[in-house]
Amino acid sequence: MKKKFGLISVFFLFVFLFLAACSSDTTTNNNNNNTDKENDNTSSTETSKEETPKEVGTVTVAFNSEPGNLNPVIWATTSDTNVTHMVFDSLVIPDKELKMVGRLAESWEVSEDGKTYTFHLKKDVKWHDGEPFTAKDVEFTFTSLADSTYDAGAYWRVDPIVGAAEYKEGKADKIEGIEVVDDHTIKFTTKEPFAPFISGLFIAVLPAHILQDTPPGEWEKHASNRSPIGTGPFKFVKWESGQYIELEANKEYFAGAPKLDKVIVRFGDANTMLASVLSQDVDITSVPVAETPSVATLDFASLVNQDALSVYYVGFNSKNDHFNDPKVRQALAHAVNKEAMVASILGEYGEVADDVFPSAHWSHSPNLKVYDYDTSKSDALLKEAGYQKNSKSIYEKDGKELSFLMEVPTGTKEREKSGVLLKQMWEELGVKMEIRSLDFPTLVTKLLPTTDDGKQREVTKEDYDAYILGFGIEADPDEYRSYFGSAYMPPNGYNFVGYSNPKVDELLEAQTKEIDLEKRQQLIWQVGEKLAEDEIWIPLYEQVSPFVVNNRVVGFEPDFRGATFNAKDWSVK
Amino acid sequence: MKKYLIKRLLQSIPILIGITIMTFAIMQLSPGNPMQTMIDPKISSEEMQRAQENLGLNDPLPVQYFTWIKEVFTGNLGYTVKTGQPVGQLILERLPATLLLTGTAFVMAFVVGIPLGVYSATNRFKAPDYVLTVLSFIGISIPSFFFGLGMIFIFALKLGWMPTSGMVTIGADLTGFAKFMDYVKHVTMPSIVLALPTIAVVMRFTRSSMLEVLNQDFIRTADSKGLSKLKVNLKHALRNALIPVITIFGLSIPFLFGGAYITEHIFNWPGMGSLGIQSIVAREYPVIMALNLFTSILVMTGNLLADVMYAWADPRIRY
Repeated sequence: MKKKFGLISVFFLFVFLFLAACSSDTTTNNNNNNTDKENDNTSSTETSKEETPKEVGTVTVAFNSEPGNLNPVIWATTSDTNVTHMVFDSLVIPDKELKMVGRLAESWEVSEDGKTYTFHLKKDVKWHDGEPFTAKDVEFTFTSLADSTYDAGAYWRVDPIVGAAEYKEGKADKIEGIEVVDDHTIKFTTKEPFAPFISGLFIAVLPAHILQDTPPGEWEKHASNRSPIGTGPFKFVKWESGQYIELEANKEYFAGAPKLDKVIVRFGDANTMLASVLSQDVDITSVPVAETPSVATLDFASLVNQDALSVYYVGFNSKNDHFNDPKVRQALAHAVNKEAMVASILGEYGEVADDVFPSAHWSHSPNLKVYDYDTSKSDALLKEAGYQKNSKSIYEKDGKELSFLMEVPTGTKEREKSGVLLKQMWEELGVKMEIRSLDFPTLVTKLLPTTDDGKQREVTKEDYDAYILGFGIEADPDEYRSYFGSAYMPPNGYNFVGYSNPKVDELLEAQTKEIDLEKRQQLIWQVGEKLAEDEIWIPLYEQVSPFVVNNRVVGFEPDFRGATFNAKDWSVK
Repeated sequence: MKKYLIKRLLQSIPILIGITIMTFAIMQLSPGNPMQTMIDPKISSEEMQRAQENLGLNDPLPVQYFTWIKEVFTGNLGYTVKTGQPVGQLILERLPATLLLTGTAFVMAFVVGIPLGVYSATNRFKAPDYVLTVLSFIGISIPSFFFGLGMIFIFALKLGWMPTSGMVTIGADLTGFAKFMDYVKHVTMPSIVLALPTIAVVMRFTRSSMLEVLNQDFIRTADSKGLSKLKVNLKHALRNALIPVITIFGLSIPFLFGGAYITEHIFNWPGMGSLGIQSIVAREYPVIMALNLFTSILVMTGNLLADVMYAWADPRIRY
């Protein structure tokens, strides 16, 4: 009996110790709050700085998936770039208006013929390990992308450069078009004037002194892929697999030291991360639109929207017997009540889209054809196309009902709901539509079909009928070329809708050669206008991504470049 | 006994190979491959195809399988497709967290389950028995994601007693006892969620097994000798009633590891389960294969362990 009592008392001792530890924490906090109220803002920050040193200048931001590669030239995904944007710098970077401005480049000139770019690099830039950054690093980075062993998705950036292809095939021992003039000057020469080239240089510059002895094909296994060294505003500290990545301020950052001491990037399930924001363990995380009401009322946090420059749309298989007629697609477009759709699923977090180019981007034409919601126009168009309503009041042509299967990828609730709304709207018109939910990789196997031996093949009408996806510009509208140029149908590109219009092909090629931005804009506007006429995509809506941010964080401004883009300017109250 | 053990171990080799073939086939049947989860308009399709080719994703399936199994026999579990990390190392990094979580849940399941079962049996057809029966049915049928989120909502958000997720307080750099308490705080909720169904099963099993024993002659003998009720129940009845419970002991190991997938995901626990979910979404074949291999070895070890302990606990059983 005595023994038992001993055990129990030890247990209670633990409990008391535990409670004591907790409650003493609370009291210090309370004291802090009291002093804060009496003092002004600046001194209150100082008080808390002294008393709770761990809280100083640390922001914890959470994303829903863990990064894979921290070497930014290996299959960069959003979860990777969220971290690498803080650790690395690129030569150039898009500004808020999506025009390219220098980052590691101080300035640059383009030759008269539009083929030669001379970059003057910033001086006094140092790698995190203290080595100086020079033009050699830039040369090394872009030469590596054309290395024969490299195949991790960034070769297209250097493809326009003279001699890149030859270097890749092993016919040359260096890329002819990349020339180091001196330590802080580098010259790129392209085969032809190529307007999107400059935006292709928006990729991190890698440290030559770390990676030069490893062939680029082996970089993913190199230690720096898990503990990178860059020139950026934050230095990598550690990566606890499955938990978090810790970064600390680079006090010697050439564009000024960050205001924070530390950034911690966490990753985990969306609901769990949201709960961590509510318990104030995490400062910033994204919120699904459907969950926004539950955080909108918080007194310690606010919602901040990220404009993603992307458009959600319905894509049609032009090989399909119904959809090969533009009139059918136009008829369907007239039967979509986009306003109602946005109001019911997105509210203030979305806007109606009429252009495949995002409306905030310079590529969006102000004068393209808009399909107003008017089912009488749809009826007229379908009649013109030779459709008649049958006894079940469904449109049919030559005895075939206008019915199809809509593939809707899971993962975004709003997108899934939009599929259901489309079904209702189109069934009202007299069109039969079935919805199939599937995960993204499965949808990709339908859009980019392969033969049994794994080779990609052409899309046929059996592969799919229609799908809903989002598409966004990352840096340059030239990205649309691979989606609408007739030369880019699978297996040669991503034109899985099978769109073919000689005029659009011509415009898409012409805009790549037009160095003058205004003239280029005109060409791209024409592309948008043509696409709106043919309506191979029905643009539905644009959506912003809300983030919930603890009010102690100041300066969090996510934009299309990413959520952590301006982490250097974040601070805490 | 030794002969039996050797026989069982040898048997397990073809079974394991069979399992890997099945997992491989099922994985390949699910559409999409690791490369296809990251299409990008700027990357030309030749570039994409070349990457696939170099990764061996275009090889015939039997070739892919044999390449894999050959490497496994030499102790190499392969590399992740997208990040080139050694899979073995990746799993080892995550293993301690999973062991900590499942270990806690395992201990909890038996430490809580058995006494409740005994209590329930000795109070048969009385109020506590009915209450425990209802509770155990709730425990078995409540989905763990729901229970987990409910726990987070109540104990982490409303009451603020527990952390919402993770294994440690990030950035706290604790040492010694404080670090241990930090672990305890973080492991409590996920291990309760993970253990709940097993607690319920153990309890029900103990109860029925206990009832069976309590009706036997030697219990009546013990009673008539004038032994105290407590002594009869614990010393004479429980010991015999525990033999079938040992089966659950072995079988619950794979169950806990399986349950860890969802529990770890909800609580953001950095173990093998959350790794598994990530890998399935990203179609990381080598990781999925390795995790499956690992889990099948666990299931088989669990079964073997149950059989061996059965013989050890009950002298009547001989192999």
